Amino acid sequence: MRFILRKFGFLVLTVWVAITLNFIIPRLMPGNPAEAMMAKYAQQGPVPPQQERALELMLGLPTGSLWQQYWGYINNIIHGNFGVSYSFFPESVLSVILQAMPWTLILVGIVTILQFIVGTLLGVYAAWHRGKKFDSSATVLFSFTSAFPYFWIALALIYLLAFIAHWFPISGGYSGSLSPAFNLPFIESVVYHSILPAITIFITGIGGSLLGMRNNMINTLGEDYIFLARAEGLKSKTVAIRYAARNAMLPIVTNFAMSLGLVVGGSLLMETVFAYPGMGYLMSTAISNQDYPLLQTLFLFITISVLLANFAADMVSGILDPRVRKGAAR
Amino acid sequence: MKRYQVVGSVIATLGFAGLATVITTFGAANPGQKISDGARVASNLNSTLVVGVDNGSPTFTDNFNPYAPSNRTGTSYIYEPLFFVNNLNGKVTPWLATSYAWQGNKKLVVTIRKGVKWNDGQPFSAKDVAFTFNYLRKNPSLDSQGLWQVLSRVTVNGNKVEFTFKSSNVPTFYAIASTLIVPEHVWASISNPATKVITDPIGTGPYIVGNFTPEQYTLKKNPTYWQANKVKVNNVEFPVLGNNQTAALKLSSGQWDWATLFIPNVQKTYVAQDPANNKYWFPGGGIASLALNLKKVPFNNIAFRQALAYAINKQQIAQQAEDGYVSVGSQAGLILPGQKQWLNPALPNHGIYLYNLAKAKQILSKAGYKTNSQGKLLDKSGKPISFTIQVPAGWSDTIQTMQIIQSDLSKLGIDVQVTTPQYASYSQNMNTGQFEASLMFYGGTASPYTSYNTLLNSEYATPIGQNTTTNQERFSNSRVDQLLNNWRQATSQVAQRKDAYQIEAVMYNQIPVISLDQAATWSEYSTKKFIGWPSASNPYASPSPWGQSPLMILTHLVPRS
Repeated sequence: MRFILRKFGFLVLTVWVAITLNFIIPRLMPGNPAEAMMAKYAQQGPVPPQQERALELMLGLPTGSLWQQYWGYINNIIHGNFGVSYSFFPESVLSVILQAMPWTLILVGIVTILQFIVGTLLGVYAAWHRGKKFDSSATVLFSFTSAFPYFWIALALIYLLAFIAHWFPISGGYSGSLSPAFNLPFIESVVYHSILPAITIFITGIGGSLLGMRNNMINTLGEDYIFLARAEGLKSKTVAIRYAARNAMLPIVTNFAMSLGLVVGGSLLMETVFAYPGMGYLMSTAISNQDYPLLQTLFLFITISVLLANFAADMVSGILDPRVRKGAAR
Repeated sequence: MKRYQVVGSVIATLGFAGLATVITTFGAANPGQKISDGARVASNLNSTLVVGVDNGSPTFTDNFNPYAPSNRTGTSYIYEPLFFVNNLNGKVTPWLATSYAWQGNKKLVVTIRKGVKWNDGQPFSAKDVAFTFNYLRKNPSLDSQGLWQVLSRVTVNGNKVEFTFKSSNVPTFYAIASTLIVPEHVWASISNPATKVITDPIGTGPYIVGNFTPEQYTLKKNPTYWQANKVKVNNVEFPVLGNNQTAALKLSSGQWDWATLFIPNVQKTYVAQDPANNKYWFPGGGIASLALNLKKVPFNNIAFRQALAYAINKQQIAQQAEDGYVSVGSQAGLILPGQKQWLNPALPNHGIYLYNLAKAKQILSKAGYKTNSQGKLLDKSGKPISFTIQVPAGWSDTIQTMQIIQSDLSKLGIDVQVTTPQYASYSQNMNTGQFEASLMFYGGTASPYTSYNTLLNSEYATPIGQNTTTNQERFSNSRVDQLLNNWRQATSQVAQRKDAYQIEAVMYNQIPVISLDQAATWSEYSTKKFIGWPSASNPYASPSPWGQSPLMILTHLVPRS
């Protein structure tokens, strides 16, 4: 119980720090959103200077001292009011985020889980048969793929599979000629558009979980209890899964929880390259438009989900591993 | 174990190479087998124009409010101005108005077109026009052209609208002409116009909103449009633009008919994909210049600025930094050839300072500048001259431009640093005058007056530390102020031209900013489905799919067959 309370107290404290940093950091940046919007227009051609003044009036830039702004900000967060987005003006930040969230959660979420399961299983297999054909080729191949930059592999896939071969669409989340609805053609289109982004995340992510699991597992395989289990004449499969893999999993679970938390933030580079309508792409455009309200809220969502995932991981390892609990109680 | 690793990596490499080969072969063998959605739509609907211009960040929000800063690009296909002004050459075409006349130089009378209907069936009249302008007065945040700084009232007189000015300001005509007119019966009851979401826009324009999804929307032809017989494109489709790389791929693969993208080597990446149909035209839309802070030493010295103008190789900038898509900018501040009717014939070389390093050195030594033993140019107090040029981060072509300048000026013995702050701080530095040298865009307005006024009017040349959004190089010259004032009062083009010639002479001789090149309006289009596009030989409109040009272009396009 004390363990849980301690962890919870820590959670509350970090959330407060995150919220406060979230308030301060955007304000340290130079310029204001009207100027950022001007930047967007200026790339299309010269803009009349009066337009900047008009934009400032329209956006209603923050007034009052920083202190007042801070209290207003905390108060609004408590009431779930995140303000109006500058770049989607006059839409509210929350509605913009709620539109982007499902895309990311479903695509990045599913692929992350899948990539974790497949990677871990392959890692177990590679470690068990270490030094054999599969292990040596997989280790090399996946060290290779996990070193690929996201955007590079995404662009390569787009160029080869979409532009030259015409197997897949070049970008987007679904065909623009369909209205989002829960029907077969729309779902088909969504799946069709998500294949390349999914492959990108899968290829670049799987190496990490495979290699991590393999290395942990090889360490575990050297432990005395594995030796004992073998000496007792247990089946190889039982030793591998029930004894070695289970113990080797512990640090991986924490890692996995962290990456699940990060899923909320989307996969920034992948989504930007594919123009996939999720949180990552939203964030990258919010940055370039200096859309403070949107950015703050996005960071808040990401931070809180990472913290919650961490908290959950702490709880899980507390349950799985008595040493963690005892260490905390001491 | 060692051996297996080698085998493994060989397998991996072969696998990748094999995959690539298979893909490439497949692509080459089945060129017609396009199953991507864009292509499917394009092949089925030949009367649909697909335009890659609207970004939506990252998806579209359904808002066609002409006053919202983040509205859909298609909004300008729905609302119309009184006159269409061709920014390339200043030509004025009657649109919702049929004619205009000046009474003296403080009153403008505009005659409104009869028989025009709003797309909800209600008649359009002079009352809507007067309402629109008075609405801007009531909501200053909408008055992005600053009209009510010079207007005193706008009233209706039958089918005429009368604009009365506080003091004479003839060039404001262009701002009035291009103001989008909105219906009184819709907007009169809207009290907070900028935040209002308009999903069903009521305009007089050639299109109305058809299908809308967050990834794509379609505009369809307005059957009651007042020049419906000229509109041959039945549907205009706007897919989400996405990032630059994938957008360029979509354009090259023929999924889009019209786009406005900077594409490196456009001839190879776009035109070569379908040489018969894929075209581009990049007319000048403004002038990229090097602004020197005239309140600082040594930039306040005219001879110094002149030497710089000679020492910068503008031809090389146009060739290398802009891939040769643009032409060199005239010191007269005009976009050529479009504005050639304004060009002072007395200026040598159309006002262009041709690269001449020897002359630059000669001017400097004549003005008393000396070099030290290391070849560094010294200022009047004997210190080596060195300064910093700022360019917004990520504007790769202009950053390259400044690097060329950096190496050109090193030949005069001047050390130049190039900094690339974020746009916001770049712009703040310009506003407050906290810079030494900076990239600055100017020009490209329908009347050169507007460009000269914002660039040169000493009223805007605030002291360093105080904000100004115009005349940021802080030029001041009472003769120029007088000429600008004359121009405001002149209703005849002959009189205006006299003022223009003299201002150009000042631009040429005193070099308030150093013109570099004519910043291009990027525009790529395909003639596969529609012909009649604007081009260098028929520049009836700027070829951009945003702003008011589409109104003109879509009344010129006709199907190929």
